Amino acid sequence: MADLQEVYARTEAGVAEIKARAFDLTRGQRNLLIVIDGKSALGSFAKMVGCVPEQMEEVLAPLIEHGLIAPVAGGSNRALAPGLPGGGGSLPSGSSAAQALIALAERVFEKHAGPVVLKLEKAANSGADLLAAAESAAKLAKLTIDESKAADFLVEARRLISA
Amino acid sequence: MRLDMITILGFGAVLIMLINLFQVISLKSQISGGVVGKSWNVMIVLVVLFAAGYMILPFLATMPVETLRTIVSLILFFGAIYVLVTIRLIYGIIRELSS
Repeated sequence: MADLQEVYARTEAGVAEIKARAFDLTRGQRNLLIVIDGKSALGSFAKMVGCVPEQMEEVLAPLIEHGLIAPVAGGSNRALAPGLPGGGGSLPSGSSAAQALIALAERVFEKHAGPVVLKLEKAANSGADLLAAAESAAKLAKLTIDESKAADFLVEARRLISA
Repeated sequence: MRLDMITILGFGAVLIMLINLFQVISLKSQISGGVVGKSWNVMIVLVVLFAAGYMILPFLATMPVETLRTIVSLILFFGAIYVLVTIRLIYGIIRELSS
């Protein structure tokens, strides 16, 4: 089983893969690739990826195998994942909230998530207010993807941001 | 075929309508549903009908008057529907963006 307190970061290949989608990653693997931030313990991403901590190994393995993520040297981060059998369900702190939103969009809108993800990435890169970005992304989704999924996304995004 | 102003305008109209048809179908992949997606499907059908209707333009001179009047009436009728759908779509977008 993967060490859920280990900290991983995206490699250059991982950054490229987010845009290129060259590998046939599952949704969970792609979500993990997006949210992983080089600071938070692996276990803290389980909920966002949509699996229990014990299943993280199968999500993680292909990413390491393809060289998309790598453990951060000396990055075992037990303080960030308290009270878990090897990880936690809480959100990673700081800027990775934007990445959590992107993962949420990928999960909710599935193959149609592209424009929403781009909008969120743009907002994250420009340092814009995340709640405003999420609301704007939800509007875009309501107009062009699906009204009920957009509402679900907004509810979940608000919950993520306020967590 | 005589190359007068009416013929040139007719070919121009057909060409522009074919471009419209290409664009409306291409954009569909970016609009899978939602407020715009619902209207988009209706717009695709209407543009297909227009494109088919416009194809007769080069043959206007050879058509019986009654047939011509029927076709023009149909084009005007569906044109009115197209405008209605477009206005409702724009209203929906404005309402959504201002909410």
